[in-house]
Amino acid sequence: MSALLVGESVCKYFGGLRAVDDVSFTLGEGEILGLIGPNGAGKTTLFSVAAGSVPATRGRVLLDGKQVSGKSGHRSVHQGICRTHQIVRPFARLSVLDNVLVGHHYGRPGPGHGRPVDHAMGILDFIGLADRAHQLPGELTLAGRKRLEVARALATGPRVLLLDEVVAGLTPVEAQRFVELIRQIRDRGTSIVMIEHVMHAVMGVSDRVMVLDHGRQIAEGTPEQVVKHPQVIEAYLGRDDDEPNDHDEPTHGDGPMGAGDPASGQHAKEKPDA
Amino acid sequence: MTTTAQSRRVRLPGWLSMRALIIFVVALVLLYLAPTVLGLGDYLHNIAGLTFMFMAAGLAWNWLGGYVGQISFGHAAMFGTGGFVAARLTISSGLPFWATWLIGGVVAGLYALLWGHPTLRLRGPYFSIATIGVGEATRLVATYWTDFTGGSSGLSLPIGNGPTKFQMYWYGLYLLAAVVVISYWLRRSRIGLGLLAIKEDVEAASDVGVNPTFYQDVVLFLSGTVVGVCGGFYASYQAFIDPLDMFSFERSISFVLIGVIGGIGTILGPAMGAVVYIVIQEFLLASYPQLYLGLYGLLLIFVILFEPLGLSGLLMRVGRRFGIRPSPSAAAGGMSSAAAVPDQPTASVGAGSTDTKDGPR
Ligand SMILES: Nc1ncnc2c1ncn2[C@@H]1O[C@H](COP(=O)(O)OP(=O)(O)OP(=O)(O)O)[C@@H](O)[C@H]1O
Ligand SMILES: [Mg+2]
Repeated sequence: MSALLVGESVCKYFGGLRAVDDVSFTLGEGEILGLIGPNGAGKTTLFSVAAGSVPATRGRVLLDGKQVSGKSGHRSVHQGICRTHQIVRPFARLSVLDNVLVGHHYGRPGPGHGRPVDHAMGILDFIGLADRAHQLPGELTLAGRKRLEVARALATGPRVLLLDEVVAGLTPVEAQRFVELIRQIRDRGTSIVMIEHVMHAVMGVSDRVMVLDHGRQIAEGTPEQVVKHPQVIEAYLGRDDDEPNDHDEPTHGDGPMGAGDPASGQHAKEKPDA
Repeated sequence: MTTTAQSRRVRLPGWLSMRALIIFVVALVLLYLAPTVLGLGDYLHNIAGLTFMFMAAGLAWNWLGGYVGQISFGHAAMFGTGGFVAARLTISSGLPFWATWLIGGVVAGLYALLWGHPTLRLRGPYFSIATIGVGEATRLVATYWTDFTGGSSGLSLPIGNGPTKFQMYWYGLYLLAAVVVISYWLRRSRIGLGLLAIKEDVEAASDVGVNPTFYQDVVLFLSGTVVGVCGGFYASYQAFIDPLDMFSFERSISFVLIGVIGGIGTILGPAMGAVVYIVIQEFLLASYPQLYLGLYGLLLIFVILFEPLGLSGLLMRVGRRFGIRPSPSAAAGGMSSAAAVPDQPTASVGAGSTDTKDGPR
C-alpha cells in the first residue's frame, strides 16, 4: 500500500507527562483513519505534532517521504497537511468568506489560484455555508463554525486533513450530515485522519481505526477488529475513567462505544466559544 | 455615493479599485494646488506640511499597531534614528536631502528589525512593554552618544542645501501620498488578509499556512523605515534636532495617539488623528502646556471606552445613520474584505487626502 502519511515512533512528553508515547501509524492515499481514545489519551497532541505546530520529543512524521513534524505549522501546511482545532478557532472579526480566503491565499498552491473568490465560494458551497459567506463566524451555530473550520482547512488544498472532533457536540442530524461531508471530502481526493468521540460516526466512516490510551497505541485495525479488542474494551469500560460512554455493553453490534452521545460530558467544553 | 466605474474599467491590480484611485488622485491634485489657490498664511502652510508628516508616521505606526495588532510604544526609536542618520549625512556628505531621508529610513527599519525580530514573538501587552524598554534604552544611548547625536545640545543642519520650509509642504505631501499607497496596498492585497489573520489568532493563522514571524518582521521593517523617513523629514523641517526630543517617550506616545484617536487599523483614521493631534499640540498646548498628559489621557480613555475605532468608528456610525452599512469585516479594523472582493469599489468619506476602508460599501 502506498502510505501517504507515516508516523515513526512519535513521542511527545510534557515534562514527565508522556502525552504521546512511541506511536507509529500510516495513512494510505484516499484513506480515512479514525483516531479514538479516552480523554487525555494524547490524540490532539499527536495531531499537533503531525501538523508541525508542536515539535516531537522523539520520532517524526513524514508526508510522502518528507518530514512534516518539527517544523512550524505554516510550513507543514505548504507541504500539504492541515489540521482543524478541537475548539474551533475562526478569525472572529473576518467574514466567513475572508476566513476561507486566508486558507486559500496562504495554503498549498493548487488549482483555482487565479480566482480566489470563486475557489473560496466553491468550497463554501461544498461545505454548505455559501449563503453565510458575508456573515461573521460568531453569527453561525456551532455546527456552522465547525463547518467553517473544515472549509478553511480545505481551502489550503491539503493532501492530508486532520479533523479534531468535528462531529462532537452536534445534534444527531447535524452529525449525520457532517459524516456524509467527510466521506465526500475523501472522495474528492483528500486523505483524512479524524479524532472522534462519537463512536457511530467514526466507526461508520473510517477505513481503519487506531486507539490511543495514556499516550500509547493500544489497538489498530478495522472498526470491527478494534471494538472487539480486549484492551480497547478495558480502556473504555474497565477503569474508572472519565469516559461518559460507559453505559453501553460491548455485546451490541456497534461495539462498546455503540451510542456516542454527542451532548455528554467532555463535549460541554466545546460550547462556549473560548 | 454609488459608482458606476466598473463598466469602463481599465485593468487594475486586484487590490486597487477604480474609485479609490480616482479619489486618491483628485485629493492629491487638490492638496498640491491648495497653497497656491488658497494662499494660506506662512504659519498654516508650514503646519500643514508637518501634519502630512505626522499623518504618514501615524499610518506607518498603524501598520503594526492596527493591521497586525502589535501596539508599539517605542516608535520614537526609529523616528530618532532616521532623523539623526539623515542629519549626520546632510552635515557630512553632499547627498541630496531625499537620499539622506531614505538612508535614514532604511537604517531605522533595520534597527527596528534588530529588536523587533525577537520581541515580535511576544504578543499584546507583552510586546508593548518590550517596546517601552527598547524606546527608553535607545533614548538613553542616543543622549549619551554625543559624537553622533550631539548629546543634549543636539545637531543643527546647514541651511541652504535642502528644501526651504515653504517647500516642505509638498515634500510632506509626496511622503504622505507614498505612505497612503503602501497602506492601501498592505490592507487590500492578500497580505492584508494574512495580517488580519495574525491579529486575530496567531496560531490558527499559522495552522492555515500564514508565516507570522515573516509577515510581522516585514511590517515592522516597513513601519520603522517610514517612521525613520519621517524623522529625516522632521530634521530638515526644523533644521535642528535634539535627541531628548526625537527619542522621547512623548514622541512615541504621539504616534500611538494619532493611531488610536483616528481609529486603529484604518487608513483615514490616522490621517484624521494627525490633524487632531496637531490642533491640540499647536493651538491648545502651545498656550497651556500643563494640560498635556491630562488632555491626552482623557482622550484615550474616551476613545477606548466609547468608540474603539476612534474617529473612523464615529464616521461609520454616522454612515449607518444614513443607511450605509460597513462590511462584515469592518470591525477588524475598518477593513472591507480586502483581497476578497477586489472588484468592489472602496468607499471613501468625501474630502481628505486619503481613502478609507471603513466607510460604506
Ligand atoms: N501544552 C501542554 N502542556 C502540558 N500538558 C499538555 C499540553 N497539551 C496537552 N497536555 C496533556 O497531554 C495529555 C494529552 O492531551 P490531549 O489534548 O492530546 O488529549 P486528547 O486525547 O486530545 O483528549 P480529549 O479527548 O480530551 O481532547 C493530557 O494529559 C493533557 O493534559
Ligand atoms: Mg483532544
